[in-house]
Amino acid sequence: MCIALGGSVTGEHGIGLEKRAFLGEMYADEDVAFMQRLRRAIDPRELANRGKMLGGGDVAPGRGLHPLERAGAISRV
Amino acid sequence: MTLRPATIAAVQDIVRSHDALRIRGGGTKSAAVPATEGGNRTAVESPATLDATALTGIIEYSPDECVFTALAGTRLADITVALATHRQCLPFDPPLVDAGATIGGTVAAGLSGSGRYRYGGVRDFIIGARIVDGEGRLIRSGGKVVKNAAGFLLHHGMVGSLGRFGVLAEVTFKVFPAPEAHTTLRVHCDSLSVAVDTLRTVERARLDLAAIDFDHCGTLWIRVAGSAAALHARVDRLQRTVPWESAVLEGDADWAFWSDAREFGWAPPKAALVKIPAPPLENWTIPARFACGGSVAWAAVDDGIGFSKWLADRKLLGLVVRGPMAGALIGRVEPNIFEERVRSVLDPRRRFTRDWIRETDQSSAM
Repeated sequence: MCIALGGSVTGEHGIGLEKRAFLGEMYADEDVAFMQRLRRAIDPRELANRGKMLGGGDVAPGRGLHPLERAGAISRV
Repeated sequence: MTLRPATIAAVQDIVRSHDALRIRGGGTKSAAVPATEGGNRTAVESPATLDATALTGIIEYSPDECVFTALAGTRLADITVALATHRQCLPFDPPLVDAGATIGGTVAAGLSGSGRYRYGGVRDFIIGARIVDGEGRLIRSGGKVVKNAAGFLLHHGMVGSLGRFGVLAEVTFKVFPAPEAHTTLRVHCDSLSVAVDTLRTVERARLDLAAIDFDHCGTLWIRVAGSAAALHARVDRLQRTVPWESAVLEGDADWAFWSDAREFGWAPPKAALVKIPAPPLENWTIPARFACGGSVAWAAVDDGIGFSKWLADRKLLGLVVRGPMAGALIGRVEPNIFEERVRSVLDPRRRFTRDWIRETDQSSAM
């Protein structure tokens, strides 16, 4: 709903692991593709924050989920 | 050849159909566009110019949300008028408004005015952009809300990019309520070093000041902004803090001084105008204004080559805003690997930097 109203899913903390699923909702595929190209150009070996924001990398199961989500109390639509 | 697209789609078509392009807005910062007319560089087949001044109009303005979106060729003068009807403003005092500068050109040149001292610069107020890259792709960055931290903030990277990364097509800015009233204190000091000492005294006094500019002869202009009812007492306190005689500029006198500063009316028209970040605050013999409490110098230069060497000797970089220089950057210009990589992503064919590169080749061959 936030995105549909022209808002942002994150005001300060960034996308990180938890909000990776929403980046593609906020931005068009081409915009995310640009971010991926830029990321590869600056950090081709993906040494910095692998898996965060743009996905990819080996992220341990359960990581990147909200604590309530991990506990099964809430889920994403 | 000059192309003047009126839509973003037309910008994309032009980019795709040209090998080399230089991008131009209002033309107020003549030197900041590579290979401008009157430049003294060797003319090698001149690239076509993409003139962005037909890409104009405020698309959306939400005074309640304090944000607006405009096509990049929109003139600052038009934006200022639209914001003023809701008593809002761009607090970083973008330069050359009356001269016809565009919002996109201001971002590309990375220029902020005296209000940067109190409120932050152009990079602090741009919150989103749509950019046509060197492949003609339209990339959106940021958003239309004041708080947003999602994704890479390419619009921040476009600040000061000088047309090297892509064509700014549309920009979104946050704005602030305009202060109700302004007053300026003009202080004549005997020299630049006395002015700098006075500046430090004023800064230590914990006064909330809107701007502090000074010149190479030692005159300071200190601006106070806010509620009209409180302004007199605040100026009084400032006046008591300054250990020298001072004059109060109110109303039209205040307005006239800062308009002149914004338009660089103090600089001789034939001199080149160069911006120097983090300048030394001593031994200035050429006319200069220092803004933002001395963080930025604007120098009016007659001898561009000599000044470039002067800067290089001090490991300083200068941005030529206008004047007959060979390029936009003078002084200590070094290759920047980060910039190279960003460019390899946005403009792999170097459509936007073809003539810059040629110039670099030539200078290294000399």
